[in-house]
Formats: sequence, C-alpha cells, structure tokens
Amino acid sequence: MNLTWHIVKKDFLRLRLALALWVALMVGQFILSYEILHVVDADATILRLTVKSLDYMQNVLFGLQLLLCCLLVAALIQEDPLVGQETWWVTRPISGARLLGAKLLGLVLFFWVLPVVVTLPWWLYSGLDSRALPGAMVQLMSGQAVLTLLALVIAVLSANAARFVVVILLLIFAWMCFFIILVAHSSQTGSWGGGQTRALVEVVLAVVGIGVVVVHQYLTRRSTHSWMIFSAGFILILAVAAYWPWDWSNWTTWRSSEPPALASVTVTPGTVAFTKLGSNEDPSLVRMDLELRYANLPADYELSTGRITGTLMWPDGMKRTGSGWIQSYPTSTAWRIMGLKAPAGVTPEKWREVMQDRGDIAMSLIPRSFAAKLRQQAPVLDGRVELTAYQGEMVANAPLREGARGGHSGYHVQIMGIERLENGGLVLNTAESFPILASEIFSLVVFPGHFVGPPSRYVLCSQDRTKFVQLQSHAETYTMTKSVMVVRQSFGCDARQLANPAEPNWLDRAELLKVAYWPVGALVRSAHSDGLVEKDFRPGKWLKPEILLRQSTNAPAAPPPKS
Amino acid sequence: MNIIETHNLTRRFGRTEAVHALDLAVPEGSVFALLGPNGAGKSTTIKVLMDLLRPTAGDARVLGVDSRRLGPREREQIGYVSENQQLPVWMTLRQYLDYCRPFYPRWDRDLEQTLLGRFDLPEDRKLKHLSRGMLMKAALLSSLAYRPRLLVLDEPFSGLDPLVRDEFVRGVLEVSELGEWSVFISSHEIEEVERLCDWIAVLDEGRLQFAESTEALLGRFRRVEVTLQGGAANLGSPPPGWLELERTGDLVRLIATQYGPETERACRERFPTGAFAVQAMTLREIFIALARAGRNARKGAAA
Repeated sequence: MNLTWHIVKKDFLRLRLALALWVALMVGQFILSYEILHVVDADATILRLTVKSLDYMQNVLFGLQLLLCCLLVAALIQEDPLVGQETWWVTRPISGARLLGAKLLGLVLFFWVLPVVVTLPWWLYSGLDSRALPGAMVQLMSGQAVLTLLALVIAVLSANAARFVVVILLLIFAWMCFFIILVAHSSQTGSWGGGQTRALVEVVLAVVGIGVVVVHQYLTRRSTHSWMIFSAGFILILAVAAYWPWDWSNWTTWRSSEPPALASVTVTPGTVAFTKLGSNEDPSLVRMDLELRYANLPADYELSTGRITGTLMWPDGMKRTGSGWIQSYPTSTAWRIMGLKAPAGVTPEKWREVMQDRGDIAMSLIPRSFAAKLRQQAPVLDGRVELTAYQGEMVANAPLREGARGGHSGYHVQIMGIERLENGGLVLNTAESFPILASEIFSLVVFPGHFVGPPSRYVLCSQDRTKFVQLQSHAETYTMTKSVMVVRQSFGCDARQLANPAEPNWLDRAELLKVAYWPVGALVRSAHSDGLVEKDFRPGKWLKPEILLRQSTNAPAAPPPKS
Repeated sequence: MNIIETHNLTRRFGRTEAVHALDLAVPEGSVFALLGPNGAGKSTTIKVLMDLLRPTAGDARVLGVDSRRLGPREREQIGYVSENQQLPVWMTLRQYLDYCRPFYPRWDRDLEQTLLGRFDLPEDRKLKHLSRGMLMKAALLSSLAYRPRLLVLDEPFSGLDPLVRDEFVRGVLEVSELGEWSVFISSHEIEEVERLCDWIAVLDEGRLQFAESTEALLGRFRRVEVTLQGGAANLGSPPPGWLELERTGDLVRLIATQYGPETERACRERFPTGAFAVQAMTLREIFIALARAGRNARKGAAA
C-alpha cells in the first residue's frame, strides 16, 4: 500500500498545477452562481440579460471543467503509459496491478473526492442539510465517475494526449454515424420503459466493458487485444441501442414499496377527450386525454400517472389492448397546494373544499379511427395504472416584501423584486436554490440535460390562510451547479386572482409559499369503467365531438393542458 | 548458470522479421555485448528480454524467469538503461531518485551519493534540462544504486561525446568491480564495448553470427599478409574461414577467422614462396570484416 500511495503522491506532484486550475474553474462556477442568485437591477430586461450572461459564462466554465477533467484523467494515466515500447515503469519493480491500484486511487481522490471537498462550502452555503448532502455527494461523484471512466478507457489505450484526443473524436464520429445509419433502420419501438431498460443495459455493459478493458490492459499491456475487447463492447452497446427489444421497467421502477398511507387509494377512469395535434405531428393520430379520479388519497399526498395498461371492449365484441407511458397533469390546480395543510394550518373547511376535486388527466396518442370508434360506442375499460406517489412539503415561506427570504430542507427562496402592474397584476422576481434529488441521478446519468426535479409550486397566501393564489412563471433561468439548482424566476398573477373582497389589503401581510412534492413510493391500481365516454372539455381547444353518446353530469371542470 | 537465455527467439513486425530464431546464453558475472549494425535486431532483443515486447515465437529467460513473467521481485534485481527510455523528465534528479528508491529494498544510499559525485550530476535540475550525456548518467545512476544482479544497457553510448562516453564506461567498470554483477549491453560503438566486455555476440539482420568470449574471439581472428616472391600465384576461391582474400601487386591479404596451425599450413600450401606476416586484430576490425562478409554474402544470394 505504501508503494501504491507513493505512486499517487508522484502523480499529484505532476498534476498539481493542472488540478489547481481545475479547482479554480469550479470555484469560478460557484462565484458565478452566487452572482446569479444575488444580482439585482431595477430594469427587468437588463436583469434578465445579466442573469443570462452569467448563466452563459457559468456554462462555459462548466464545459471547460469537463474538458480539463478528461485531459487530466488522460495525463494521470499516461504519466505511466501502457502503450509503447519505451515505457519506464515496466522496467521497474512496479506490477501492473499495483499501478492500476494507484491510478484508480488517484482517480478517486483527484476526480471524485476532491470535487466533493471543493464543493462542500458551496453546498453548505446553499443550505443543503444532512438529508440532501449525501444525495448531492453521490450525484456529483456519479457524474464524475461517468466522465472519468470514459476518459480512463481511452487513456489506457492511447500513448499520449494527442492520440487520446484523436481517438475521442473518432469515437464521437463513429457514434454519430451509428445514429444516422443504424437507428434509422432499426425497428425498435420507442416506449419510455423500453428506453429506460435499454439505457440501463447500455450503462451496465459500458461499466463492465470499461472494467474489463482497463484491467486487461494494466495486467497484460497487450494493446491489440484490449482494442479488440473495446471494439467488441462498443459494437455490442451500439447493437443494444439499435435493437434492444425488451422492456424491463416493470422490474426496476415499480418494485418500490407502497406507502401504507395510500393503501386504500382507488382509481376510477372518468371521461375522455380528444385533441388535435400540431401541424408537424402525424395527422393520423390524435391525443386522447383520459380522466382518472382518485379516492381516499390523503390530503398531503399527490399521485401522477406513470404507465397505463388496459383493454377497451366494445359491445360489438371488438377489443383493443394497449400499453404505454403517459404524461399526466392534475385535474385541478387547487390540490397542488395541499402540502400547505400541516405546516401552514389551513382551515378544515378550506381543506375539505380543496380535497374534493382530485385526479389526473393521462395523455396518449391514438389513431383517429380508434377515436371515431370510441365516439360511436362507449367501451368498457379494464386496465391497470401505475402511479408515482409524492408527499407535499412546504419548503419555503417568506413575507411578501423585497429582500425577504425563507426556506429549509435545502430550499432557499429570496424575493428579489416586487412590481405592481398598472392593470393591478403582480410580478415577483425570486432567486432560489435547491438540491437535485438523489432519485434524479439515474435520469441525469442516462439522459443528461433531462432534469425534471420535484414538482413544486409558488403560492401567495393570506395571513389567515383563507386566500390562495397560485403564481404563474413568466421567465426563468435554471443553472445546475454541482447538484444545486440555481433559479432566477419571475412570477405573476392578474388582478382578478388577487381580488379578495373580504380583505382588500390582504397582500400587505401576505406570504409567499413554495410547496415541493417528494417522491415517496409507487402504486399499482386496477382501473375499471363500465362505459368510457367522451367529454367536450373546452370548446375550440378540444376536438369537437361528432357524436356524444353520454354526457357525464358530475365531471369536474378540466384544467388547461400543460404548455 | 546463465543469467539470460533465449531459445529460438523470434520477433516479427508484420512481415519484417527483426529477430530470427535467436539462441543466446549469457553467463552470470559476465559483461556481455550484443553487437551489430543498425537494424540488426539488438534493441528488439533487449525489449523482448525486458518484456517491453512479446516474442512472436520462442522464449527468453532472464534470471531464470520467462521474460513475459518478470515481476517486481525480478525487476528489483535488474537495471535497465536505454537511449530512448521515457524517463519522468518533469522531475528534478533529486525527485527522481526519491521516487525510485522505495521500490528497491536494496537501494544503497552511500552508492547513490558516490555515483552522484562521480558523475557530477546536479540534483536540483529537472531531467528535461539535463544534457543527453547527463541524462544517460542519471539513468545509469538510478539503475546502479540498488546493486542489480543484471544491468542491461541498450545503446547507451549513442549521441554521447567522447568525454561522457569515457565517464560512462568508467562508471560501469568501476561499479561492476563492486560486486558480482552481470552486464548485458547492446551497441554498435565497438571501442567502448571492447573496453568493457568479456563476451561478445554479433547479430546481423536478426540472426546470430556468433557468441563467444572476447578472449577467444580476439585469439582466433588474425590478419594475414603474404608477400609473394617470384611470380604469380592464383588466389582461387578462399577456403572456409578466410575472409577478404585480396591481392595488391605482390601482397596478398586475408583475414583468418579460425587462426591456428591449420591456417598457416593452408597458407603455405597456397602460397609456397610467400613471406608471411600475422597481425592480431582489434574488435572493431573483426566487426567490420564480419559485417562486410555478411553484406557480400547477401548480395551473392540475391544475385
């Protein structure tokens, strides 16, 4: 171990200046993120431009960090190269296994642990607590692991930095060619679960392949063989990406336990509506919105529909079985604020009123002919719905005045500006930071840039908790800085929403609340409807029904679809 | 016991055969030189011995271990200096020695200091700022300070000026007197090798020409001059063991590769009236004669 450590110290001595530069880039990113959170300007346009500029610079620094990190990994490995006939270490009493151990130790210390140490003050400043810190650490280290492992496998196969860069460019080129040629000719279906399974298999194959190549190269230094293993793995991953047919998401996503509080929750399909698609979409398809009603859902929980599997059966004997992941949105915006209950002490009367109307609209694309059939005859639906459960929590509350701040659980919100519009409306400018959930790690690794975050809402609330106004976002800048999301946002509401005849001056003592919904488990419920009927949710927006067989009498008003 | 052995060792690069069926035995305690012109396969042989290259066929054993299985235990007993070795040149000499030292349980600090003084090396200068001669001496120092059983030198004199060469050779000679070390050296710098070696092998185009002790080699090679008296004599084709048989006027010259009473008798039979003069040859002369003969043989075969 002493000799392994001896090699690590040598590598640190060699890379110390470059590592210092890398750390400086990280610190620069923190400084810019700090600026994004604190910049103020009376002119909203200038403020937005300033925030955008800072965000752009922050992204440039992040890109440089990634680039430098790759080059540093290559430098670490090629300090004792594995390719070439004049390698110094081979003629010294240093075994390949020991060198591999030293390089892996260096990799972990320099590129996994060091960023965590450097980022720790930023996390603490951002208010990450003991619940959020481990997730942020794991997330940062996983991101670094992906980057460093990819760089590692190329570095062990190339003799110097120039070849390292050339090989990376060639691989990127090969990957692009693959997407153009292979994927265009593949027959795989694009279900979300299948994509998730495919991505997981690719990640596992990549990690195993990288491990085999690296260990083989260190123990044998037979570059030709290592390249053959690497190429075989690369082609295998490409083949999986192009032709993987199976969907194992049932095994992965829905294995989590069901929260006991949700044991009695039931799901009932309501009505359906059809929406025409945009001009760029397939004209043979329409969007079907299926209303799902929830019963016995505790007040501080929320559900969102994941996948629905079901069979539609018509009286004439026709059947259609379908399955797919479905984007959903709640039937009522009011119950988005249910998390206010416990912390803010909403009145029982208000709470009952809010809780009456709960459900989801599950969306999917179907053929027009199918929609026409459904309009002619109401089919019976027997299905199964997979749902994700969230528990609401008020993560920030601050009095409605400039400079006020509040938050906990890693969430921090500060009101940077308040503007009353001439038409009586209100615009708020806020600065916000919050940790990215550990549960997002997989999404971030597999789908970089596809950040969802926990569902959350801003609400204006009167002091007596009788008036709630949900704010609409006008403009926002999201910047992810080492597992902390930095957000500058403008919210607004119109005069009609603010009207409160009971207390006209309620805004003077109002509070700004933020509610976040934490994923707490998953449910699977059967969904049965004796007759699935179409409802004209909103004339002009929805497809006008040609035949209305039955009109629901107690269906709730439909919300506007998500933009 | 042989400290290095190769059996039918062959190494190809594509269609080019750099080393062909090499059988070599280096006795322990010897200073063994592997000579040959550029491209003869000397460095390839050494790289196979050091496991920097894998043999295409055959095998090599170093310190009794297959070269492909040389581990840290064997490496602790082997010193290796090569003209092309990629040293960590960003280090100062002091850092370099500090880095090397822990890997060798038998590292001798006193010998390190002695060699530092003898080679006159600046400890605080980075290796990349050292002259080529200093760099080679630094590499030699780092390969001698742990008193290896086997010192392997691959073209150590290339590009060195005469003064540095002399220091280098002196260093190896003086140090080799300190213990029972074996030295395996590849070079085409014959004068330096002659001062060092007690065994010599010659490679040409990857094939071993011969391998024997320097004493025996110098003893069997002789330049013979025959001054012809009283008329012409037919040179004819040279018998086996004669090289460079030529005549200039009355003077006939030849090189006898197996000089002995048989050689003298053969000369007298061919040149009965001649006056003979026999001279010992230097290693350089022997090497050049052999190289020339090999080249002529190849030309003849090609024709």
